[in-house]
Amino acid sequence: MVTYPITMTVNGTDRTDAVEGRLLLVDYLRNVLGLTGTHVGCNTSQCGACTVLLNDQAVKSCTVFAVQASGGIVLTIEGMATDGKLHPLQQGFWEEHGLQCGFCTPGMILSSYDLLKHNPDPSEVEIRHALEGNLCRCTGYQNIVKAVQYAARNGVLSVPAEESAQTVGAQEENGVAG
Amino acid sequence: MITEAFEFHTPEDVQSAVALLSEHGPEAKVLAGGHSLVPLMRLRLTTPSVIVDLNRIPQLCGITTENGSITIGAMTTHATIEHSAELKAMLPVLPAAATLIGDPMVRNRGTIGGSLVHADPAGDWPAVALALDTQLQLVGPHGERTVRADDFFVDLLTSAVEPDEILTNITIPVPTGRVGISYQKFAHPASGYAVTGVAAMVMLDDADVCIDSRIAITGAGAMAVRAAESEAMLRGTDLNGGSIDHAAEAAGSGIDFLGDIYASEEYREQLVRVYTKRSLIAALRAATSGHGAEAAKTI
Amino acid sequence: MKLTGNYTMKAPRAVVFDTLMSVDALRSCLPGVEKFEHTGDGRYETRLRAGLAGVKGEFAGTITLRDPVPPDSYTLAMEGNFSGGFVSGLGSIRLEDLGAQTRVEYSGDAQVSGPLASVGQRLMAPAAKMVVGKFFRCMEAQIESRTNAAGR
Repeated sequence: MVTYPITMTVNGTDRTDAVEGRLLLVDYLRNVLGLTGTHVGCNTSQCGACTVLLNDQAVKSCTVFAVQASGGIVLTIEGMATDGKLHPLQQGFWEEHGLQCGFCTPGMILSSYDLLKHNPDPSEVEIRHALEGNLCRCTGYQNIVKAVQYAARNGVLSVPAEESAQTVGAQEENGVAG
Repeated sequence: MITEAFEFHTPEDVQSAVALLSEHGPEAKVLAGGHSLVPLMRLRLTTPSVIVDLNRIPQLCGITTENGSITIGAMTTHATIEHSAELKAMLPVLPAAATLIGDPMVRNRGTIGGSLVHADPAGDWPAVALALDTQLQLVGPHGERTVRADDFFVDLLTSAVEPDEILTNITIPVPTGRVGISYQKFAHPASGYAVTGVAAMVMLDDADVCIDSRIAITGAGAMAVRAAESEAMLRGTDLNGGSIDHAAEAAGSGIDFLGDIYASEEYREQLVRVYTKRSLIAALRAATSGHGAEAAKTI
Repeated sequence: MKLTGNYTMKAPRAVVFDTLMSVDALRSCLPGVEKFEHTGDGRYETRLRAGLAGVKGEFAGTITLRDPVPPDSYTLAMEGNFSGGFVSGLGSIRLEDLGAQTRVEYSGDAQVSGPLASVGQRLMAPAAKMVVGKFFRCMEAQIESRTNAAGR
């Protein structure tokens, strides 16, 4: 089995591994790093459940090989909360009942984060357009839109763990929703 | 499912990438944004044993302008085009059309070159490239060559790029004068692909008479095509008269329409008429208002 | 998946019919033939392998030419494994005189399952149309060479 050395910063922690070329980023996060908050839904880059931020852009991690992310910075749902406090987007999904089964939620939150970074005060149409790549089968989307609006009102630009160099273990103890 | 194992290469310049393709022949596959290739690999419908990833070749990325033309590197993402202030000012149909592709995550990874070379029958860029008289630069083991968009799309999922060649960049002459360009698409509500998409360019003289027009249709047949007959019907006419209606009626002539569970052949034929008309009207509006371009999507 | 269309061939109906039923012509014109063996009653054990844009299409099963009514019509049935899934299809082929030429009308329906059907559903019909188009163009070339040979 041929492996390739990779290094990347995941939620503020530097990671070094040797992986097969065919290992997908989502499987690296879930199976190698144990960050199972990133979900696998459709497997064919349609549903957005596997969305993470790679180098500050929302990507479908089921359609990126881990070797492609080498040298990059990755933010997953586990990196959103800081010091035991939910990120305003997570708080928004909590307050506005933006989830039922929760399967799509991590992807929804990362896509919304990508939107709000570029557009801190989006219209409802802009929110819906930005979430076109994230499918939800429970909520009917209405409360997801409200959750994003909540975050926009409540300081979404608070810095997630990506920049605060926490350890992954500490983040997991924070009990991230989703 | 997990893909079959493959050798992974990350060349850092075009020459190395071409050398890898020559070395490995049909076993090698080029990886750009991956949104067409990776799902097929995961289902093992395609099983290349060598992947040549172009994502680490800086010379394939970026937008440059000179002498009235725009050059876009093949690995430039849809998102880069969507947000480019330079393109919004010079050729706004490009960012406007980019916004209609897939979803934000697809646009963050997907590339204009990947989309053109894949020649998906329902891709958006093929129609836009045809309507803008785009030149495509290819590099292979025997050197460079340039192919016009008119000669680039050969058949279903088949472009003029040979297996050992790489598309490096595309060059678009920026039309000057009273020009309007529009891309209008009827999108499949789930996939976002064009059930039918029509890109139209009209160039007017001071009396609103059409000097030139280019119309290109995607989604309707096996590949994107120009509607040459309709273009000819518009030239020399006042577009405020009935010529747009007549041109729209003729737009589908010569297309062997696709029919599937979502849209029958007859329905696609009708969509081509309707979207050609809408696209021409929007292009005319853009030309007379001086706004330059419009794009819109219906689902 | 429904598939209908027609193709006009520059030859009399009887010649077209014979060619379409000919084992040699079929072996030459079906895409990527690895095996095409008659096992009786118009049944052929078949293995085809063809590709498009790096995607492999593989068929292993039977093709049956049945109910031949020369030179008017016949039925083509195919059943077997298809690229990790299953395909079962039935098509009727009718031949009509069009002056000295022959118009071949085909109309069929196929059930396809498996990964190719799920991810490639959007592209199945155009790909099938492409294969049928190539098949008839090839058959036309076969007819031409037969006609030339006969005229010599």
